Amino acid sequence: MSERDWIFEALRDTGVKNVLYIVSKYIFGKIRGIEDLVKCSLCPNMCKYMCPTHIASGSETHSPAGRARIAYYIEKNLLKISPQNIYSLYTCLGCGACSIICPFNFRVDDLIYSIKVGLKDKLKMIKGVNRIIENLSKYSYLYGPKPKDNYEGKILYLRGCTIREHLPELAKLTIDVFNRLGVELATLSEESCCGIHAYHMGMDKLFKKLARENSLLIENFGGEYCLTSCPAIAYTYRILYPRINIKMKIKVLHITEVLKELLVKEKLHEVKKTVVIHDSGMLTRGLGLESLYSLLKIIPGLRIKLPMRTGREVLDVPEYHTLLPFIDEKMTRKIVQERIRELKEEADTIVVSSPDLKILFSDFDVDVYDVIEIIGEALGV
Amino acid sequence: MEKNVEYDIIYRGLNMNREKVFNEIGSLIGYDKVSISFSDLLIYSHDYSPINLHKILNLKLDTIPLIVIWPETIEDIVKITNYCYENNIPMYPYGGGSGVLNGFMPKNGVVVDLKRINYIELNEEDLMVTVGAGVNGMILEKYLNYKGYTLGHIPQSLPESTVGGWVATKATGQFSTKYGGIEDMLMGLKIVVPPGKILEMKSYPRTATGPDLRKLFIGSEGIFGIIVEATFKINLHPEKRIMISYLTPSFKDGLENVRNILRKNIRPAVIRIYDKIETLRHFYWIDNVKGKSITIFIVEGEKDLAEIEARVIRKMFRGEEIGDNPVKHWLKTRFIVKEASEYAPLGFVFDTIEVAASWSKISSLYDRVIDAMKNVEGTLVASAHASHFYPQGACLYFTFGGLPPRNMDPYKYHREVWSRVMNTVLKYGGTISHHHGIGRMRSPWLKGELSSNVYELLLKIKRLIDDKNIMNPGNMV
Repeated sequence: MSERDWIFEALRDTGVKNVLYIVSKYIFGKIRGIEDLVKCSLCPNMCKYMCPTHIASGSETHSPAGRARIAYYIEKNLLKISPQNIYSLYTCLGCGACSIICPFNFRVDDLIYSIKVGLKDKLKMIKGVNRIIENLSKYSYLYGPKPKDNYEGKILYLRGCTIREHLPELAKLTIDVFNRLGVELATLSEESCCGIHAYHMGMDKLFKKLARENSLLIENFGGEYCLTSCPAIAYTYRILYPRINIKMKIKVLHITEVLKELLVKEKLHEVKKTVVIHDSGMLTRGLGLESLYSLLKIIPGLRIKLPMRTGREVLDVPEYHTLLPFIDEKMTRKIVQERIRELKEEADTIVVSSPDLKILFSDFDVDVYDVIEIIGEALGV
Repeated sequence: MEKNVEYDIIYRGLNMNREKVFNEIGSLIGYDKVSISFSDLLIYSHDYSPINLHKILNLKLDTIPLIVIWPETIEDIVKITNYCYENNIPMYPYGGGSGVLNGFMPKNGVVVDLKRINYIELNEEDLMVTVGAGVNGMILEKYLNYKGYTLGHIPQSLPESTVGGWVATKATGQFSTKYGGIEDMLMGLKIVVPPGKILEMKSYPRTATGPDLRKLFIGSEGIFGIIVEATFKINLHPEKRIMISYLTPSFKDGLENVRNILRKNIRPAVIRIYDKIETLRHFYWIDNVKGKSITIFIVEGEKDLAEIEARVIRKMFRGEEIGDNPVKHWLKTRFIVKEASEYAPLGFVFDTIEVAASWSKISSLYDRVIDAMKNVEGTLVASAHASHFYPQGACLYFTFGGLPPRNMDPYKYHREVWSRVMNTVLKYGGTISHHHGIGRMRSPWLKGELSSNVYELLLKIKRLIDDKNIMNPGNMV
């Protein structure tokens, strides 16, 4: 028997004329082009308890189905385009948490992307995005002119805008750790922003421009693969670039993808810490990578806990590769605070796989380590 | 300018100055807790009644709120209630928005979304948990599971509904045969009523201090006040779970088996019996399932007790035992709701109607309601399962789906099916609602079920508590 047999069974007594009417409705009744958006916007929103912005704001408008519905009304020209009306489309973190229990396997950020592309000329209505647009358009870098920070090596290391701008010492440590493991990392001053903000803003041309710049840079540099500390870079290069037909021969890997293998033969020092880990949704959900746990468990002495209190093991926080920290500081802080509350129930020390989180979490009363710092300690670097 | 002409209908009769209310409430509790953004007003214009999907799709909304408020403390709610009372502004409490009976239709009033009232205080020694009304059901249950407990309240809406909504609608969950409905779990309650008073009903193992006024508010659907906090009994997380399933020649055979088992004081957590159509719909992958009815059981608790209960079920049930895979399948798919959003855009109308009856009436009620649904022109599917059981009777959960005839709008078809089902249930001795509640959809039949005197009493209580009729006006009574 098949999944739809019950329908035929139920319709057994229905006349031929009626069946034709039903079939014609089924075939011609579809709202073409945006069927998936319509399904999401009419869904009971069972995924919303996973959505970080919904949890923090308590608002249905900032929930997955809420966003889909707003996008649908905009597409159908039923809703005036005003800063308030379109705002929730830009607070989406693109974390994909909504996809975990979606019966259709949708990610709302994917569903609303084309609507945001249609809104790009109105985007400047949203407070906080102008600086991003200006910097990305003018400098291809999130924070303004790119720093001069070339470093010679064989494997290209894409640090990401935030680590370059705010945590250069972490980039240096990453280079040192990989050097110690026999991998010579190189950095390039020309490295551009991956463009994920442009994607979130629906600025398709800008996104394509940045993607092209980066793919050229990587292909020209060559090598077997290149590495990054930023989960958004790994996700954008591997998932979003192919969608705009930018495909590269060289794979971009997050550092956690290669560390485990490199560490196998190393003699590691004990790291006497009890830590709780916060995984990046971009890596676990977006790329299907293993949790940080599988890497860190090989370090002697390290006691690892998982954030399980509310079952929101994967509650993402608005990192700097989302728009939220730039457009809504209060909601950003609320989400981070909520996540830290949950993490601190397990341990006072948090290990993260994204440098952005080191900055975001540091504002609160916790010790935060990037994964590379723990590895560095275990290697004595 | 918004294009949709329906807004004229929405705004007609709107005698409140939206900005004025926004500013005055904003100045009372803080502007970051209040919105008049049109996107918010649209999103908060309805509950999840399936027929509303057609209205949402075409933006033909019956109502739209004045403003939306997200209070963060009980004190905020006291202030809002007092303001609304003084200014005669209707208040519409909102939890998860998962209601399916138009219990939430915010006409010219303020929507009070409680989701920022979301604290959880666990009392392990006394086996109780106290929660803010806005706590999400799934978050609460996962939290309790992590700590080694369960509330045992697992409605299908668990991922979207809130605890305040559970109490307000007198909800029940899929595991109710063992753990009971929300009324069996509720110990203490805090509710804000006009003109801004907090009523607190404390938690005791039992108390004989006059009438149990907590019960007045269970199922009150926002017509008396706003539930802001609840304390529930909790249970140790079950040590053992046993899953059993059977095929029987008919739905009624399943019902008869279960009736006999419950008479022996056996209390499985979950019992579900599907009629032939629904068996095929949910368990099509089982061999030789066509033309049969499936019954599934989950027995859980302390290992020894669970095993004894399972043994009794196996001894008593007359049917073909088919293992635990159907139960595992049900557990995996029980929160998947996708038909409504798949078929509504095509013009199909779907809805569910849950009723209950005692054992002596249940079989004939099943037949008559199925007939009533099928007899409405346009109906394509009419089916049912039984999902909540008591030694005295059970809940029948009907589903209908149809394509309204060419000359009939979906709302008229929908009303017609509902009307026939409600009248049939009243005529043949069932109750018109088992756990979804009354809302505006069922209110025309409430008097018929309660009898005039009881209905009058309900009206008097409403007037006494809410003399200006500002609490969810138009709902239920």
